[in-house]
Amino acid sequence: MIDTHGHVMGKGYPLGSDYAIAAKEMLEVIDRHGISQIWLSHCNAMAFDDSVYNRELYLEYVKPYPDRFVGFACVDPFKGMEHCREEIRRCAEEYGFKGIKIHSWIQGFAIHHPILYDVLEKAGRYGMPVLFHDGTPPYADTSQIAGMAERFPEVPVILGHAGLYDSYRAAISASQQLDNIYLCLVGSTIQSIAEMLKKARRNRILFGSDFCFGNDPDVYQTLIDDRLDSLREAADGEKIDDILYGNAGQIIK
Amino acid sequence: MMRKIDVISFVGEDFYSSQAPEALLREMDRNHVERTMIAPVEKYTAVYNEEGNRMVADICRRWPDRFLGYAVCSPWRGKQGERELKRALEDGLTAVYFNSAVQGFTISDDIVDPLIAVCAEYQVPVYFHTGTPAYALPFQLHFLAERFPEVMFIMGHSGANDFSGDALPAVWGSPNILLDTSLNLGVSIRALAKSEPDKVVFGSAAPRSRLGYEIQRVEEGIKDMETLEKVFSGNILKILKL
Repeated sequence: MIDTHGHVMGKGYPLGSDYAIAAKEMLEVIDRHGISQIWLSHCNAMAFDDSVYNRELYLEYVKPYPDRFVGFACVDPFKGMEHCREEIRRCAEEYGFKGIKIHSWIQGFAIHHPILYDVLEKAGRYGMPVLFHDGTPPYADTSQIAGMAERFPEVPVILGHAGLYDSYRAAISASQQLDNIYLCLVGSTIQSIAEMLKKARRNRILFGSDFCFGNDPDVYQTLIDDRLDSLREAADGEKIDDILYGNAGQIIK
Repeated sequence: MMRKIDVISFVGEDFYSSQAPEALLREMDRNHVERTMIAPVEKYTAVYNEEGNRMVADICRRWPDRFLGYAVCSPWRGKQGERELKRALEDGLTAVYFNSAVQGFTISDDIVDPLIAVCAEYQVPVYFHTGTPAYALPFQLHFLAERFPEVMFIMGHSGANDFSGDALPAVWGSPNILLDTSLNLGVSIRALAKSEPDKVVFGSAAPRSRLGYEIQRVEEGIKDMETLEKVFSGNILKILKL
């Protein structure tokens, strides 16, 4: 299985947390669930300092375990366009990261801005998919992100939560109208997953867990199972190998 | 005196807001507004579609030179709704109004497609309230408009308030979306008109706002007389059959 939506969370994230997961601990959890690869961004890179924590993600996760952990770069647009360009270059060329993660409500910006357009343009140049948090207005609404995908048809754009509870129908219509939109099933209800399985483009649906959401060791034990259970309930016996790994393998080969 | 046509005002009595056509006419006269496109107040949009449509059609028949009427219809009504929409358009209404936040659907959801197909058949413009997450947003309208390039849409309130910044990016690549000024400040209207002078149309959204107040915001935002004329009447006149 490929988990296309995962995070490293260090001390201080989420607010007040004094825990920091280690790479070996994460490996143990994903091994137990049969996950061969997880795509990771560092939440502290979104919340605190992109350069510092992208580097930490590289040194502690991606470099020692390149087959298991795939790096997604975070960039801070408040530092300016040149900074973002250099950070993307470093992550792609020096760290070997394969994608970019944007969490615009945590990071606090509206995405339709020239700096973000430039980020997407650079993503296209490096062949990197861009995973957006979505489903949370006003800065991370699903249709805003679909609008971004439409401007950059060469960039695979992953809706990191496939619309969450309120906007999954916007995610479905985006997947029908755009060739570069992917729906990552993280946090959807069973009914909405079932609807997506019927109506969205099947080869655009991805499995993700949002591990290690909450940054709480107790949650680590159940989170991935919770996600898999809801997907399997929605699939109702149908084969889902394409969602569990096949479709993801088409984005990052 | 520059011609003014208001693309959105509401009539009828409701829980939260009411406006009688006679009172609206007095406001229009006071502010030199030639015509107003009127939709029924929320309860008709949400529940009593047919009653609202009949009320608006009657008002338009009584003052044919002053009012143009929007029909309302909930997409949840299915075939019955399609029949009601056709009946209302054949009864003299000349545009269709949706408020998906009140009616309970996402603008880009294909649940509304059969009703938009009726709008295409009757060649009438379609107004969508926007600015209310998660169901009524500018980019949702963008994707609906993309599915129906033959229909002219009006982006109600242009995403105001929190989604004003999405209004212009959402009309990128969408020649069939007009931008309504209502509920926007002068600074936002200035940005819209500067980028898209041929797409911005004046609306008041009265009684949610006041007609005179909304005219002032447009005049505050647009100083160029040619653009002002387009926004107050020229752009909407291109799509209305008067």
